[in-house]
Parts: sequence; structure tokens; C-alpha cells
Amino acid sequence: MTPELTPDAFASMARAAGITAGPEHLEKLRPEVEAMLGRIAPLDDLPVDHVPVERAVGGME
Amino acid sequence: MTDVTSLSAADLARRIAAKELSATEAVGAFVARADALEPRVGAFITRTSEDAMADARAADAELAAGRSRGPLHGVPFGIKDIYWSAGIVTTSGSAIDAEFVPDEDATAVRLLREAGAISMGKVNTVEFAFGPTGQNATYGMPRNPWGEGRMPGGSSSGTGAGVGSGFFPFGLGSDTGGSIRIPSSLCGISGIKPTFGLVSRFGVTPLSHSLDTAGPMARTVEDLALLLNVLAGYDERDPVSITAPKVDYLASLEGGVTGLRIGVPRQYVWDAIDTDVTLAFEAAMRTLEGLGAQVMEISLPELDWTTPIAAGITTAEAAMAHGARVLRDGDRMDQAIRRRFESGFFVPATAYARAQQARVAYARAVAQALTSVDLIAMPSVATPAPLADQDTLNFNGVEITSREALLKLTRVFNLARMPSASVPCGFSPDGLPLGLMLGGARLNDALVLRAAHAYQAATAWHERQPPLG
Repeated sequence: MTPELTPDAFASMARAAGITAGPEHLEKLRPEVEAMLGRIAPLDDLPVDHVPVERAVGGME
Repeated sequence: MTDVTSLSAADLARRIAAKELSATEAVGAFVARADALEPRVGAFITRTSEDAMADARAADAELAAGRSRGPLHGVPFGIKDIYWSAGIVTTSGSAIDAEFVPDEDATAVRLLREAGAISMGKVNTVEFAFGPTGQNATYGMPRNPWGEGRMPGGSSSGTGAGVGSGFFPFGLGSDTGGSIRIPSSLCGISGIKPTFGLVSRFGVTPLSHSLDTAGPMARTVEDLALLLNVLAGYDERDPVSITAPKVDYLASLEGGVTGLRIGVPRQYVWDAIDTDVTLAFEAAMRTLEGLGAQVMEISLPELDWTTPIAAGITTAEAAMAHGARVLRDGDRMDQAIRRRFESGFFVPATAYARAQQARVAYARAVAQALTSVDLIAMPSVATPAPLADQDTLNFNGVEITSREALLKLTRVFNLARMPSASVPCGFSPDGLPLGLMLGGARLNDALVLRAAHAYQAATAWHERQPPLG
């Protein structure tokens, strides 16, 4: 499922990330961010708790 | 008389070493072909033909004096423009870096030069290597040598189009989600994404630090083996560089495939795929069986995790690598790629960590599968080269973006950090090349090359020349 962000909520998030572009740019960016969040949403359900985070994020394996 | 520009790098090296052909003649022939056809192809960002001719004359003088620099003495090559080259502009395919001139070579470039290879120039790439189509808003999309108006594939678009068009017999690419194997497949050439860490990335513009892999693209698998002999090795200046036993990839090339077990995943690969690609792949499997390999179906349900893991890692790491520049200079970028980078700011840290955990579990699953088979085979790309402006594809009622269709299969071996090679395995009815991908266990690059070479020795797909004139 693709998460939906209201324009105002998205603009706040974008400003917090340092994106200062105008509303036209944000209007194009918002659906792409929603699509990206939709693509990564299944990560929450993957059975990978047995992999130690420090091994994974540290790039050791 | 043989057209010099149709020869492989190994053939050229042999002829130059035997003084049947001078480096000046060889480089001159490639320069002349590029002079004639580059305006139609657009493989290069910066041509260095005068330097190449001077280097060729020096190479001939050295050979006349009895000195050879190495196994690539006098052989020309192209450099993807994300590799530093001393004194030559290195744009990374971006207007932002249009005036960046490194003061030293990337390690891979240095190794090739030390082995005697001669640079023909810097070739096109998707901006910061972030995309599989070959599109570049600043430097243009190179033409696919096999079809006007078709994508060359990316991100190593200029290397694919340049080798495919006969502008140089081999070149450097890089591969984060398929950027060597996608253009290799679409342009009808051969390419290998080596084991992660086997080839140094020092001096290569990063995209996704935990997946980026440097490697060669060429006409033949023999060339890939020759090049890996030169390129593989530990480099303290690349933090992920690995120490591995020295392997002679050329010497191990002729072992054949008799008795090898080749696994074909039953999941994921076939969900959305062009019928001609499937048919060519099945024919390739029959060829390998005819050569003595045992082809069998394997179960790898974890492949269904490919997209979320790749998206979570690559998008976040791309923002880590270039976020500050994107915020500062985003107006000067391809706006679609700018937005791709900016999306990375919105990946939660917890999702990134989760994606890395999942990548490790995924790699373990692929490694486990490779205890019951020696190699895994699948098509390199789910489609022949799409039209340059084609955003979506439809395979038997299943709609998929062109970007996803290009990336979905190659990504498997990036996430597993394992070697995989693409070789030509046929043509679509409208004359577009199709690729066979063979992957193996970590550090089993020699076996991947051996099987790909056996396939290539039994087929002639890689010998076809594109209708460029």
C-alpha cells in the first residue's frame, strides 16, 4: 500500500530535510516519495530479526 | 582484410604483441570509426583522440625497443565518466561536475594504463550513475547500436554503446543494480559485475556504497577474463576492497561446463517478462545442457524481497553520497534524477537498517541455494531495449515500468554481492539483442566466466555486428 502524504505535511517534511525548492517542485516530488515509501513498506514484514543490525549496517557481510 | 575495429581486446593484444598490427594502426582505426559514427551514437562525453594517438606511437616505440607494458599493450578502451582520469574532465554525467578535473587516475584506470591500455576518452553515463535507461539530460542518451530510438541501457550507457558500436573493444563500467549488465544485454556485448570488493572503486564517484561494484565490459568473455586479471586486487584506498587469493581468470577459462549444475529460480524471475526473452533463455539452457551442464529448477522465495531491499538501500545511500550537492545545485541536475536523490531524504533510518538486515538474509539464502547448484542462471534483463521514451511495458497483461523491467533481475546479484556476467544469447524478432545472466557464489568469478565462455564458444551471438555502417 502506498502511504499518502498531505501537501502540507509533505512540505514540512521536505523543509526539515533541507529542500527549499518551490511548490511546483514539491508537487512533483511528493508522489515519487510516496511511491518510494510504498516500495520499501514490505521491509517491515520480512523475517529478518535474526540478522544482527550491527553486522548488516556495518557492511561486514 | 580483417576490420580492426571488430576484433576483441585479446585479439588486438595478441596481434600487437606479435607485431602483426601496430598500436598506431589499431588506435587509428578506432578513432576513424568513432569520427565517422559518433555524431550518430553519442557514446562519448570527452574524446581524447590526440592523446590516444600519441600514446599509441609511444607504445609502438616501446615495443620496437623490446619493452611491453603488459597484457593490454596498445589496446584502446573507454572510461565511464564516473572514473577519475588525471588531467581530464570527469563529469559523472552531471552539469554540476562539468569542470571537475581530478589530479590522479582511479585505481582501475591506473591498472589498465599500467597494463598498456590506451584511453580513447570519457564516455557517457546516467547522471551520477543513478538510473538504468541511459537517459542523460545534459550529455544526451547514447544511441543503442542495434536500434535507432532504443535505450542503450545504463547507467554505463556510453561503455555499452561504445563497445557495441566498435569505438573501443572494451571499457570500464560500474554496477550498483545492473549498470554493467543492463547495457551489456541491450547493446549485445559481454559484461561482468565481479564479486563486491574484488575490483577497487577508489576514484569512482559513489552512488550506493554498500552495493557499488566496478568492472569491465567487452565483446567477449575471454576479454572479461583478461581484464579481470588486470583489475582484481586489494586496494587500501577502497574501504570495501577485499583480500582474495590471486586467480588467473584466463587460465581457468577453458574448463567447460560438463557436470556443472545450473539452477534456474522458479520464483520472481518470470512474474513480468517479455516472451522473446523467455524463449531465448530456454534455448540458452538447452545449449548449456548440450555442453554437458545439468539445468535444474531451484526455489528461492527470498527473490521476492528484491525491490524493497534495493529501494531501501540505494535510495538512502544515494542521498548520503550526494545529498548536500543535490540540495545546493539541484537546479542544474536532470530534475527526474534530482527527485530520485531527494526521495532518499525520506527513507527512515529504521527502514534503511531493516533493508540492510534483509540484504544479509537474502545473500545468505542465495548462498545456500548455491550449495546445491554451482551457478544460477536467468535472463539478464526482462525486456529487449525499450523505446527511448517508453515509461511502461506490458508483458501478457502485467504492466511494469521500464525502469523496473530493466533492473529487476540484475539486482539479485548486487544484493547477494556475488559475481554475475551477461552474454548475448539471441535477438528479438525486430533485431534487438538479448542477454543470458550467469551468477555464482562470492569469489567464484572464475567459474562464472568459465561457464559464460563455454556458452560463447558454442554460439555466435556475440559475433554479430550492429547495422551502423
